[in-house]
Amino acid sequence: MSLLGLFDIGKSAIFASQQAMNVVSNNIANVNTPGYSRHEAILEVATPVRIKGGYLGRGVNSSGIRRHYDKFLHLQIIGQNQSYGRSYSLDQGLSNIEQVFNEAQNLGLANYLRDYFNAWQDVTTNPEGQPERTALLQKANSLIQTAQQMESSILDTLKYINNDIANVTTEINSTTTQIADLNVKIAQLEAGLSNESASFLRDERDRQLNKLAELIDYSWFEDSSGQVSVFVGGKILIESAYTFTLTSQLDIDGHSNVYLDGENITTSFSNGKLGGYIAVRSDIEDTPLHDLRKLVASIIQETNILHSTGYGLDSSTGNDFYDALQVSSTDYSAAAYVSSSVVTDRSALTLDEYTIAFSDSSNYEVRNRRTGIPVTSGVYTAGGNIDFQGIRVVIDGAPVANDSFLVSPLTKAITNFNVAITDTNKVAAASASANLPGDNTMAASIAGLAQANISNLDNATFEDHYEGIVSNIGIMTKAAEDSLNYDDNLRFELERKRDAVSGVSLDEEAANLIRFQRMYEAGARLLQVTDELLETIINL
Amino acid sequence: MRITAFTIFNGLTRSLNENLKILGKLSGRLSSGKKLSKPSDDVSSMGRSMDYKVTLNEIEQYRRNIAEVESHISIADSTMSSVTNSLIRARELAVQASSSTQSATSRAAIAEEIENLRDEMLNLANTKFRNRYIFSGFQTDTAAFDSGFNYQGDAGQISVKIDRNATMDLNIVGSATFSVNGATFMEHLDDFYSALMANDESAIQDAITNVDNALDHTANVRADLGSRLTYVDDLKLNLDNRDFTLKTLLSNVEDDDIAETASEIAKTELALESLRQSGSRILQQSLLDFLR
Repeated sequence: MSLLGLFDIGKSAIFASQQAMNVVSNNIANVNTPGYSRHEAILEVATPVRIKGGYLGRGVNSSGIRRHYDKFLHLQIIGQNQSYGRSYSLDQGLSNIEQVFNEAQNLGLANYLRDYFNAWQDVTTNPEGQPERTALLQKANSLIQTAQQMESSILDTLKYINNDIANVTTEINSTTTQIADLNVKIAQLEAGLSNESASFLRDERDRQLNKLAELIDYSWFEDSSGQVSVFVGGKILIESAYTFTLTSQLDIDGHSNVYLDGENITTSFSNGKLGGYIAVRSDIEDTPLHDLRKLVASIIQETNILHSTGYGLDSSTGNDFYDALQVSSTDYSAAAYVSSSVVTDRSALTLDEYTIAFSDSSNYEVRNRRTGIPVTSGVYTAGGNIDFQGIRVVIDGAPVANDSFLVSPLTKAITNFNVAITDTNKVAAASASANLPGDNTMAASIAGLAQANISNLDNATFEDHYEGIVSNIGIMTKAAEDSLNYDDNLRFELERKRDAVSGVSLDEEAANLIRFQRMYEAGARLLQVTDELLETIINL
Repeated sequence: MRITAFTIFNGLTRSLNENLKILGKLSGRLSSGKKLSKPSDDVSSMGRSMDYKVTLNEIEQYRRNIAEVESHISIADSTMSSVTNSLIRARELAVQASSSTQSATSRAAIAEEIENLRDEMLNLANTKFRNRYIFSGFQTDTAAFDSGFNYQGDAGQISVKIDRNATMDLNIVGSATFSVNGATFMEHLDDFYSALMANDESAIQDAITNVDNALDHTANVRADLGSRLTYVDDLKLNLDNRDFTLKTLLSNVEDDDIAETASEIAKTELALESLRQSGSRILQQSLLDFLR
């Protein structure tokens, strides 16, 4: 061990502290960079030399840079982002719908429903009065307008959700492309080096994976070359440099469906924004939209059944107050179609929706769409009548196995909601046949519907049924709001934990900076001392 | 656990946001005066408030119906009061005419007034209110009695809902109202008129009985109308009470307790203020300040 060796030790101290200060500076510079994981220079004793009586180190080596990172936390964050995405979509969709039924601000149908039946009450007090009859028609029209406005707000929300599904699909595609790009770069940079050395690229990829998690639920793993593969619905979405593109398509019901590699995988999403949108879409269709349509359909049905047996001031009878309910149908079939669907007996109508399903080309079964309970079944003949619960459907063409047809008296109930009566004299306030202007008994019966238990509404009154819709929406929105809050808090907690491991603390970095500054100073001093020692020797 | 500036900063902004959100909600409550701004604020209160509103609205409608019933019955009652007056006058004339001192000429003079009373009675029986004949049953566009004193209407009772489980007829049927002893009041007066013209004393005696019976009958009708009015009056009071109770309940569910909200706001503002102060102090602290 020579005096000159001291130079080497001093030099290594200067180099190592420079390296460490570089790392510290980079940490400080990135203190506000999202997703940045802090780095630390790894210092080691340089290979020692043997001296008499043992070994002596030959200075310090900066052997590398360590990235502070907790893989398990990252997995948790990905999972939490997926839940958060779902809650976000649910909250967004439902709080829109809640506004449509916001009875707290008197938005909604309740007032118009009451006004409508009150107008019938007014007719009972003055059955031959034209002002009362005119007012009745006006109130009925207000009810119609409000119901139609509410339906179109709900349909708008559904349209936005379907647009959002298409947009999220595009966003997913751009994210997966970036992840695939990063995969390639990471593999190139880390080839032959220690794992995780391309740390800034890894930070970026983690950020993209988090972003993707907020959009869809996926499973993933990292291979030995440092590249990640991502799967959705059992299919590959990203594999090293390759991505498969998600596409969205509108189906016959106006639903945005998501396709991967030509296959419809819409139902495989349950989390992330996409999963949330898909869930909230069916929530809205199955509950508030369906229930509102059923309410309107039952108002039409109950009013018409009574009204058509009553008599107007002009002694006319058999008039519907509202345009009669229409049955509409949707064909889920390539070669067969519903050629007609009509109401044959409106008093038998239960206001349910039906699926006519073909098990093969000749046998069909009619099922209640909601409960799945079979209503009737039979052998198919083209153009033959299929009768059930007051409805007659005619199917034509050549159905094949798994074809189905949706038949519903509800779909168009609000669209076709319209007062059939234009002449106030035809408002049937009387129930007896002769020309009896003072007879108010039919008006009284129709007004009485307001308090009647309607069998098609599970024996609830119109008001109760509507109140049920509002409560349901309130409960659903509240639940979505709560879980969004919960998921947001949990996500924040996880971010905090991640930050505790990977975040940059300025105080810590300042202390380190001093530490390495001192190390540099001492190293420089070492060189100076060595120089002086040499000078002493030389000047002997 | 390592605490970084990021953690502190994020935690602080979150807490600030949360408090601001609460503050926004509270001041919304204060400005609208309502506890509920949307169904999800409190689903069960929302349900109750809708229930109360339905019932309140029903009560409002019953009050309107009652007003209609009252006006019809009052018209019928005042008509019957005029009927009574006519009958009393007819009875006076009958007593006067029955006196044996009356001559055929003086009876003929009385007959003239009876003829007028008969026509007036027909007019009263054909009373119209709001352009409907009130004694014709359901045939409100037809005069109750024609010039031959035949009833033209029917027995229709125009029944109106005045409470959830109560209805009331707003009309009385002319055939029953204006008939006694198998003939209408007008016919009795007409018979009386004929008796006077014929100077038939025993027939005049019959007229006294008939007019007496008609007076009794009218008194009964008026008693019925009066009891209907009393019933409706009581019901109105009852509805007023229910209305008041429900409005109080609705206000409990719906309306905001201003004092409570105001103090909540003060509390939240205090929390915000202390957050800001402590935040500004914590965020300012850095080791770098001490390294010189």
